[in-house]
Amino acid sequence: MKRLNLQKHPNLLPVIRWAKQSAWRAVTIIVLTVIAVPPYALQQNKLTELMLSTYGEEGAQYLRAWFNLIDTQKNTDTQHQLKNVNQFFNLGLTFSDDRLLWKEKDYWATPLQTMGVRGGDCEDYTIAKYFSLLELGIPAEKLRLIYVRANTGGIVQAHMVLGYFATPNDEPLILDNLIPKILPASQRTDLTPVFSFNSQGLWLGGSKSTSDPTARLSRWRDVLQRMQAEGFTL
Amino acid sequence: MSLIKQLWIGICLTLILALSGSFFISTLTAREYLEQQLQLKNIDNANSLALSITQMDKDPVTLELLISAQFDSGHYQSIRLLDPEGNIIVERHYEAQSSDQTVPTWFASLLDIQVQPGIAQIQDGWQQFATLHVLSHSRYAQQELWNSSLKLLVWLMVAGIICGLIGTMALKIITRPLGRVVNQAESIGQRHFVTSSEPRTQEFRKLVRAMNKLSASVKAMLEKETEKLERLRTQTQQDEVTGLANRNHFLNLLDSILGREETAQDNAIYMVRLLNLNEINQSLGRNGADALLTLLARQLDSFSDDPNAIAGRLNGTDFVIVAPYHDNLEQTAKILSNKIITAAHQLINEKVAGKDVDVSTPIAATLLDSNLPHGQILATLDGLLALAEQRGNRGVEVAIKGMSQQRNLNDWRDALHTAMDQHGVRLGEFAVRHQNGDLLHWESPVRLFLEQQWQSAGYFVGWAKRLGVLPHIDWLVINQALSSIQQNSEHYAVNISESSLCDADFRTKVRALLQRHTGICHQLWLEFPESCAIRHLPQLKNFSTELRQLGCKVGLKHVGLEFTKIRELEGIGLDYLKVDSAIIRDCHNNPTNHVFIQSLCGIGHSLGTIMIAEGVVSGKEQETLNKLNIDAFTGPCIR
Repeated sequence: MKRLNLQKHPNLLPVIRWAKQSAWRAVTIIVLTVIAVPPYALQQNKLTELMLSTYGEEGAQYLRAWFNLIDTQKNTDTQHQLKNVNQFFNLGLTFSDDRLLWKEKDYWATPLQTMGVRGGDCEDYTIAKYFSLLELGIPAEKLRLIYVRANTGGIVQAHMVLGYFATPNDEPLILDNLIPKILPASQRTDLTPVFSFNSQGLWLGGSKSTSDPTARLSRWRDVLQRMQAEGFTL
Repeated sequence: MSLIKQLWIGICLTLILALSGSFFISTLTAREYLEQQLQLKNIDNANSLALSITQMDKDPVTLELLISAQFDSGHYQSIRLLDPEGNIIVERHYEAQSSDQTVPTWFASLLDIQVQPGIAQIQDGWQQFATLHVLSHSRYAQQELWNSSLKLLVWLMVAGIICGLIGTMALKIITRPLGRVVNQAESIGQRHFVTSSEPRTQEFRKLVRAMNKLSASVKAMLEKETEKLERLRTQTQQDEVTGLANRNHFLNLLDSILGREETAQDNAIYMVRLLNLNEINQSLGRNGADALLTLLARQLDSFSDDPNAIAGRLNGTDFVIVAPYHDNLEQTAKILSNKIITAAHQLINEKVAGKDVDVSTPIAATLLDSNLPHGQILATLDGLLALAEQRGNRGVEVAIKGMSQQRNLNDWRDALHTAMDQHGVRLGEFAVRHQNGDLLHWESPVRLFLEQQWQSAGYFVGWAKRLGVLPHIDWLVINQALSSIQQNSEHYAVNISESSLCDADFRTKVRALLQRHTGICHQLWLEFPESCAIRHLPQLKNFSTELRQLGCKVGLKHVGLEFTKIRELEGIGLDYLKVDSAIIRDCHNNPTNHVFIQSLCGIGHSLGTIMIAEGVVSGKEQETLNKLNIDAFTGPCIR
């Protein structure tokens, strides 16, 4: 995956050289970051370093924009948070098939990878939005990743959207990349829900899943684990 | 600590280490694995059940049925369905039954298997409907862990025992030659210079080779010394022509026999005179006459096969033998006379065929009375010989004195058994002392109650030997000596006869007896006649080794007369030697034997034996013997 992206981004090489030259500075920064950053926050510097080394300045710019989004939206109301996050990804990313992007039939990318390549398919959008909203402080039990059957103009396809439940018994608001506007579920007659899930329950046992080899066997747990390794705080 | 014990300790330690190590590694790995598998099962089952419920009608009966079906047919601790507010919709919970729990509680608490429930969401259309919590049983996992730990324990114990047994066998094979090496080293440590075959193990072989070399050099040194001693003996004690004891030595020997406690009283002394020696000298020439004398000497020497028999040449014409006699003294003397004359005639015929040379050998014989001095005995014989001469060439004159009661074999058997059964044995006590006067031990000759009084060995020993009861007497003597040791806690020396030494039963019995008294064995000294070392060397060697292993002291008595005939002296293993009084006699007046005694002491000391002089009669003798390196003394003047 790394090799693929280096080939795609030859402008990355000087960046790597720079990173090597200022290795000491980097180490110092990382050490200071680790000391300075509270444990629950995003490891912004680590994510940036990784983004820079893998996807170059372009990816890093988008990542910084995302950091900015998180920072500015932290204290606004939920409706704004939902809207801005939905917009950020719907506008910033290009829909693309996994086969083109990742040379795999079905690949669940982490938000960092999605932001790095500036594209993804439905579950990549949904995952990125889900974690952005968690990052903004929306509790996990109000969010669901929902498998839906999408009927767009007679074409039926498998799709995934993010649902937001203001209260457990409310109908959810749907964050989707097909229709960029956030709509209540009842207005989305093109979608039929099949099954929903979130990351509740997976983290009850603490952060031990990083060392759990069985996590790789489940796409969902695999992506969670990779995110943790990249520097997301879950 | 023995090697085998160390091996077992090593194996036990290794086992405990291996057991605890593999126990922890395997159980912890297994626990982790089981936890993971259970976690996966929880998550997957929760998801698939949630997926099914999401697709179904959600009336309470269907929900109840679905969850019951999953719970009843599966292996779950609990399945709970909670509505979005967290209220329980349906719950199934497994109630533990104490009977199906075979895992000890300590083990369960040690291996606390913690698995999180699988959680999955159920929707009703777009609406949240419920959250499903699925928790699988972890008890079978504990059971499995417990079973595998038990199997591991059993296997490691079996492996340990097998290793131990194989190791023990290997060690035994390795150390088998070591035992022999140690025995040899110990024997050499006790100046018992044995050689042994070289073992195959290289290190042991080198060791054994070195020790064999040491033994061989000691043996060579002893052989040289013995040769020297033999030359000395020939020079000082033998008649030049015939090789018999010379006058001086014979008289010493005679005194020694007369002075001995155990000398049989049925010894006879014969005197043979070659009357016409001058005539023979003229007829046969000097060489012929010497040949005749030598022949005569050989006949006399071989006359009795008794080890205590002695023969000597008193002067040019007079020869003497002391030998036990049986039945009829006159008859015996006549047989001797015939033997001599027949042999002599044969020789003369060979030398000077056709010439008629007469050989005149009158014989006088009498019983040996140990109460008489040798002068008186010889005087008696001279008188008798004068009578015999008058009877012609083959004249025989015998003096019979009623000494012991004439009895037949059966009477003696009865008398001896009665004495032993009714009165047992008593031991005489003669001190054997060091140069500085310290008591070395009490020499304890046997006494039997016969003829209404306690008789010394000489009185009955000949008959006892003939009747084969000596081993029994010696057995009683050893028992008596042991009880004396227990009473007085002093050292006692007892005499073991040749017959007893050759009696396997006796040896076995004595060994068993002494094994029961190992605490006092070091105070028991057992002495054998010198002749045993020549005639019964293998038995003596074995018995001596056994006795010395038990702590007893082993020695030879009446040493000196045949000393140079002993082979492998270094291989017997001796603690002391008692030098015969015949060699000690008159040493303060007569320096003839000084070099002999010194050489004897040299050999003895090089083997680590204590040299004891027998029959010391005067302080002057003792002083002289001190200078000749004798260590200890016994005899009339030692009290």
